[in-house]
Amino acid sequence: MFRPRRATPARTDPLVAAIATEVVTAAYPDELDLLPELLATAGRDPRRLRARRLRAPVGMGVDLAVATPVLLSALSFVAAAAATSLVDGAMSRLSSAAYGKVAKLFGSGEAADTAGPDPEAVWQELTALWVTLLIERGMRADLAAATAVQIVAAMRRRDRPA
Amino acid sequence: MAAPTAAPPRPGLPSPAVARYGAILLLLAAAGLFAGQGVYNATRGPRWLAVVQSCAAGRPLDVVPDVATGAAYLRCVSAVEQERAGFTFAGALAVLLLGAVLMLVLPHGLLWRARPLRPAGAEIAGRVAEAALRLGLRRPPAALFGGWRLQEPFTVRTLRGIRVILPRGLRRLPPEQIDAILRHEAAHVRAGDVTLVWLTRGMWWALIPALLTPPFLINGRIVLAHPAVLAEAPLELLKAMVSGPYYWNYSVRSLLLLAVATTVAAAVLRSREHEADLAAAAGGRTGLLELLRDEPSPRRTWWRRLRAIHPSARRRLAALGDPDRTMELRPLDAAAAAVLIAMMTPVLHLALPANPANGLLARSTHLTGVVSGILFALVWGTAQWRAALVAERTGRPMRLRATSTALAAATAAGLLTHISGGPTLGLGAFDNPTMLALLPPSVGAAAAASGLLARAWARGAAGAPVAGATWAGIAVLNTLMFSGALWISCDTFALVQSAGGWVAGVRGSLGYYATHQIGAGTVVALWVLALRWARDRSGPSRVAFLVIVPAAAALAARWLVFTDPTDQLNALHRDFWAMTAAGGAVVAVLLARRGAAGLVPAMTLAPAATLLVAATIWLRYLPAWNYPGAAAGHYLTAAFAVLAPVYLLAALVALLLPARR
Repeated sequence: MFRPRRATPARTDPLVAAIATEVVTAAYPDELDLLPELLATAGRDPRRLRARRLRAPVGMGVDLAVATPVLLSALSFVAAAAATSLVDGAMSRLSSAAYGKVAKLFGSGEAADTAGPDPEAVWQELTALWVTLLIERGMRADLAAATAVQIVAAMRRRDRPA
Repeated sequence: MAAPTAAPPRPGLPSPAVARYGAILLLLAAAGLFAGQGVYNATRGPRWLAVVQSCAAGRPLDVVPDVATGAAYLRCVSAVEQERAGFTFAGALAVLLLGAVLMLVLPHGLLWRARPLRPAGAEIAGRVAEAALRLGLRRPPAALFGGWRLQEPFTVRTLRGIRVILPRGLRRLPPEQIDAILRHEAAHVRAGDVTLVWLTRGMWWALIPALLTPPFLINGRIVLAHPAVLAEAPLELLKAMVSGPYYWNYSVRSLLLLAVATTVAAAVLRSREHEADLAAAAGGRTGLLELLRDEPSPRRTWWRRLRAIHPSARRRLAALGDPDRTMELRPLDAAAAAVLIAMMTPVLHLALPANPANGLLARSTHLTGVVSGILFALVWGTAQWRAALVAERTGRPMRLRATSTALAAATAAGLLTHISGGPTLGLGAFDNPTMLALLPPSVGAAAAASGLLARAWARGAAGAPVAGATWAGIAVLNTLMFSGALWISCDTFALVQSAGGWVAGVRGSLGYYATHQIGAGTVVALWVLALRWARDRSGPSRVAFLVIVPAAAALAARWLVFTDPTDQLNALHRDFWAMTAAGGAVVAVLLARRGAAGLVPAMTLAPAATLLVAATIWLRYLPAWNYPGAAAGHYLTAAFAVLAPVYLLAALVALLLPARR
């Protein structure tokens, strides 16, 4: 039966942890109890969050997977890409303005925020990025859209002018 | 898509999934029989061959011997045959036991993968209790939340009782959707297949070792006999092992068996989900419909649809909107059932021992026919009668022609591809042209006759609840019809083989059928049922015309045309032909007038015509009978029994005809 386990101290990116906590609190409050364990997992090895989901062969056939691991996986991926400047997949298709915004928030802070004349377009581009990343990681499209909006809102709150 | 509305479930209909579990058990048993046979061949085969060749005393084994020689041969081979049968049935038992053990063990594997498990809390437990109460369960299952990797809910039985394991994501759903999920899971518990469903998974772990055992043993013997070769030339040894036609033939047949197993197992899983959805919707449909509408429903290719273990959300919504659709006949289901049963039939026949002491060789074909007939009756016959009720209720066609044709075609495919077959097609006992011309059409005809009777029954029974005893009676009737069809085709095959030609074989076969008391009993049963169910009865004058004219014509032909002197046996055969002609004429007239709908009314009148012919013949020779009572018994039996092949033929013709009112 269930025995509570002491989570290994997390070494997750503080911004990833903060945004994840904010989004989960707002959109998936029922998953808050899972957050410490999942943050610890993300800190040890974020790839483990993308481990294959368990689809019971005799199950009901409806997808009720928790959203937090997918959210953390996407956030960790973006944070890693921003920190190392190694962009791949959906990240590579970002405009320089959008990438600059990501680099400014998640990266070392050295990348210039080259926001263009239409900052809303940048946030929309970033929303689309999150939707893509979340769906790639197995989240349902409707949940991905709602979650992406929450992530971008959390990012905007942290986007202070230089 | 328009929002479908769930209709209440239809009580009193047997579950389609239950028969499919039977098909999986059958598949395991057939693989086990084959593995047992393979073990025997690999370990005791040379001894068996030596005994058989010695008993044959130089005679070719494929020549049909006379009765005395055949009996002596059977006595001689009896001991080794018993031993062979022991191995074969032990193989079936071992594979079935392995399947049963896996059925109990595998759920624990899933539970382990779903951990950490923790109690779902008082609120969910309360909802589970309410769902269980609604579904009529005596004890609610325990509800647990699984680990974060768990994506979908499932129910398993453990040593400590039934557990519903829920993903953590369940908590984000609105209450009515949570209730719908819990009712769905409770419906699985009520269906009683929470453990049985694991057969669909355990099957693989039991089938694959069973299929690998024979070639492994054969190759193992080679390696044991020449261990040095393994070290010196392993590649050459491997090449020699797998390059022969035996391995190619065996591999292709094994893959076909596994493909059929995949299809049937997936069909079981899909149909149980539909059944649980329908039961869950009965307690409130809104939550389930919302849940399914939110699910993605990607387009699948036909192969993916066939292998899918869950129906798509679109199909589930469609089934909830029109539950009768899940009970209708589909050619694909007919084909899957028939392929499985036909694949098993030759394997079982081969497994039965030649043993004159218990008459198993003489009756091995009949015993095989009974087993296959029971399976056809339970898997397909019941489905047809259930579909007849649905068709009567909805006014939609039963698709009898398409499904019976699929059943016959798939029976032929199963006989050709069964796992025991040799590399050369057309030479085995069941895959030769004569048997393929007889057995698959007979099965299709039995299905058609059963379906037409079911339609007649459903007209009177639709709307009223059908008792369990009625379904048992339907199973017995279907068993008689399908087993009868298999017996008739196998006996005709044997008679055609021994007579050396179709004409002589069919002529001789009528004399054989005419003495068959079980066949006569089946026709009597059909007569009684047809009298009860035939809808519009003709008036007395029309009945008299339809019965008396064919009977008089047959008697006239019997005594005025066939006047040349002949022996007693041939004279008796002429009497049987006269009865057959009278009954056949009645059937032909009614089919010509009313199309497929004429078959059941024909079953009410044809026995009267044959009885009239039989009674007239018996009365004419009354002064000459040494034992008039025994003669009356023989003619009475014949009057009914000769109609069995007539009905089969008529059902085949009826399939091609439109049903006219």
